Amino acid sequence: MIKLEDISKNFRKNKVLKNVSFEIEKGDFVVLIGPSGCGKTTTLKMINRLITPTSGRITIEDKDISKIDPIKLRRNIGYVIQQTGLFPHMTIKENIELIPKVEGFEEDKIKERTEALIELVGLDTSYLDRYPSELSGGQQQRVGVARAFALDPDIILMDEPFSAVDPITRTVLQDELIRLQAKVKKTIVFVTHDIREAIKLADKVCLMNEGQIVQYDTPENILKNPANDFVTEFVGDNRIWQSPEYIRAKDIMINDPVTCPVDCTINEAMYLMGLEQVNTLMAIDSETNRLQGVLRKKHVQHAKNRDIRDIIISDYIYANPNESIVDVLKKIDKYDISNIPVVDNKRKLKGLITKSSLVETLSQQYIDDMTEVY
Amino acid sequence: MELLQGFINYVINNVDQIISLSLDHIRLTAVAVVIAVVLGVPIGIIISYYKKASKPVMGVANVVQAIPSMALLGLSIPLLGIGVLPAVTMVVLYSLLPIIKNSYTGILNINKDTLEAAKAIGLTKMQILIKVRIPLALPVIMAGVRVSAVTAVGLMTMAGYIGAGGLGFLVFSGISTTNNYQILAGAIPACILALLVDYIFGLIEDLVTPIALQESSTRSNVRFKKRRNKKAILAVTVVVITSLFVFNGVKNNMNKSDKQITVGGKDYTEQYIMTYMMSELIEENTDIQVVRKVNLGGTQVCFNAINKDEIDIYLDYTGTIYGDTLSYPPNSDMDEVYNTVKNELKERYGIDVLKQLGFNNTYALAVTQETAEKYNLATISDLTKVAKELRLGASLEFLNRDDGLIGLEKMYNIEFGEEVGLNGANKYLAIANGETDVIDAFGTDGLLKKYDLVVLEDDKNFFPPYYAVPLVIEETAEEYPEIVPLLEELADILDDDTMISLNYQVDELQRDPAEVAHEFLIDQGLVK
Repeated sequence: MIKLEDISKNFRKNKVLKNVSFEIEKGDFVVLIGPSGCGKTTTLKMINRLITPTSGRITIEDKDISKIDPIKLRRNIGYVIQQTGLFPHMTIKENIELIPKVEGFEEDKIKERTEALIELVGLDTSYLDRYPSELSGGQQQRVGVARAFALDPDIILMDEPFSAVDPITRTVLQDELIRLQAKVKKTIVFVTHDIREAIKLADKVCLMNEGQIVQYDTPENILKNPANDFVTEFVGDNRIWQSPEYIRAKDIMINDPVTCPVDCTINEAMYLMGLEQVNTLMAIDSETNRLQGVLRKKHVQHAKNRDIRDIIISDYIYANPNESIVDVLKKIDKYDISNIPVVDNKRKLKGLITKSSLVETLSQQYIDDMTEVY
Repeated sequence: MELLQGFINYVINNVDQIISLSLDHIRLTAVAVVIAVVLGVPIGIIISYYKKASKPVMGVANVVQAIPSMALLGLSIPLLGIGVLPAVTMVVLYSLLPIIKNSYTGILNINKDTLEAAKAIGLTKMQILIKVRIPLALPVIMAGVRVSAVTAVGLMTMAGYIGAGGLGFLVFSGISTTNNYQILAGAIPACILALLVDYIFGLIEDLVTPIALQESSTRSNVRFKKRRNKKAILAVTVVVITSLFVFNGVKNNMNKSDKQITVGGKDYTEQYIMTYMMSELIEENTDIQVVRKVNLGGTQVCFNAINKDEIDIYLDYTGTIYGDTLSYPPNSDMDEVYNTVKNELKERYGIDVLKQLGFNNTYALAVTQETAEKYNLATISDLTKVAKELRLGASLEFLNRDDGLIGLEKMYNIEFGEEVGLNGANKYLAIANGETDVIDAFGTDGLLKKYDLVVLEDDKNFFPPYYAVPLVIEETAEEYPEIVPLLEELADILDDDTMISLNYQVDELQRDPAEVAHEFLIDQGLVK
């Protein structure tokens, strides 16, 4: 959808951007982030030609934007900044309707659209006749979003839109933006300096430093597989603990749980439990490696048969490798079980999460914090 | 108390004139302010876009502001003549600076984020200017207009100096005839007018400020109500001013007659009387209508006015034209001076010089009775011996003229202990208060009689003749030949003493110059 090719920008002798290239897919929510002066805002403003690159090319749907009339281009790209971006001398209605009116749309349609928009951003139509100064910061920000949607553009640019509101309002606005994006599926480019905001909102995070892209990836990969020390440092140690939904079952499972073939005898199973000092065995099909059932020690002790097939629990609770730790914990809590096997779609055993492995993982963040202190 | 009583009486007796001059004043000011806004706001906006132009434009506007208004007026007369045009031009020039400055800064000082948002949502430069910049800058621009408008009311009093009317007429007339009531009758309405203008423009300023930007904690419906009241007041003001213009236009159309000439005059008592006298003489004995432009300032203003056909007739003095206008060195020969003036004005300017009147308004030196007795003074030669101990309070003109102090010093070898520049009636006040000892005077000054001063004889015949002569534009004299013999009738009946007593009636007895002129014409049987 939006493609930046080899973009550089010099302000006098200062190289603000150095050969930046990346592509934004249609419907993606991309967050540009980095320390101040990294070039994130400059990059954003190039997309609607508020800033012209010194060299390189930007295309939107394969059309070179330098060949599009900037006025026309900008009207097809929504733009949201902090609340100062609203025109203080116009009512909310006038702010939202400014461009539709300039474009000469029909009065009735404009009115209809304005009312729909104000409700879309969670405000009442009674706000339309008020002035921006009569609204709270959060409400102004919603109006800013409504204005950006006025012409129903495919692309929305947001330049630190929530940086001036209080943290509680910010969280609410972020949640609403997620809800809104799920509904409208626009291509959104969002600039922030807040890594939590980036991870919360983004489909893809573009982390920049000193005019270059350091890592352009999903939030999860940024958290788990930082490209270099800069990313690690920027994201911060244990940042992942503030986004537990990105901790997956596969990240915390024991990779080689104690297994036994499903056709082994009870004696063999008991011997194995004693040897490995475990209370549970994963009974698997030797050929397919599929998990057939879970064998618990208490069942083995009272067993009369010599075969384990009758005493394994075959309707066991399991987790998918990509399930988040939050969901795993919920299951453990709900079914009151002490461990949970991790299997893939074909029920092949991948690993095991036990209460003790959970404790170990969860305690990790505090141990790391301790080492930082000392 | 006496002052108040006198003032009230003056106002009661002249209420029609005061009202009509106030209306003139409002009209002139309104025109000037509107022009200044129409010019100033776009200039301010343009230079905010073309920053390179801003320094020179602001520089020029600043310099104009620094020129004394009198000087600007004087400079504009050769180009624009007299009357409404130069007066309005001057006020416009003075009003421009605050308007340009505020428009410029108002447009520039708009929040950068707001402007970026305007650009980013796809407004064109023009749309940003009209929909964002101007509305947001309007309160600042209006503050500039307000300052200009209030200043313009004050400045417009200068219009009275060049025959454009307005309240300045009363002020200048009052100063030159030492009539304090008249000065107050001009100054007080001007002040009230200034306050009103300030109030009205304050309302506009409030109204153009977006509700959102107003610092007020009152609830919005109260604010809306207030705004409605303000709007009502403004609407009434606009209607009043518009009707003033309409009414004036109708009046002018009705009064317009085919036969009309304009008689002008300078800014002192004798000229007032003579302007009214000549006007009435013509009006009562012919079917020509006369527009009276009294109080047109000095020689330069009047001569420029007649030269540019803005007035048809005015009264000047032979020596003045000979020395000032034609730049000849001082000459005491009365006939030679008259003939030169008559011939050269006809040839070079197309102006007819009529027969000279019987009074010689030449320079004279005068002292108080006590000084004359103390030093035993009768002639200027007598004065020469004691001049070093005396202070001269003379008009600026006298101090700088070859036929004034400069020539006098050479001819009599006289030197004064101190020289002070004082104009008009202030000279007399100063000598009466003992702040000066000798003054220059005109031979026919009524104030000589009022203050009982002794005129010293010009025993070496130094001062050139300053006989009064009516000047008439050649074409006017041809078109209305009947006015020439009429005006020449005055030649035989006016002499120095007659003129002094006429001036005395105005200066000392505070009578209306038009009335004094009328009475004189009746006494002489020249009008019925």
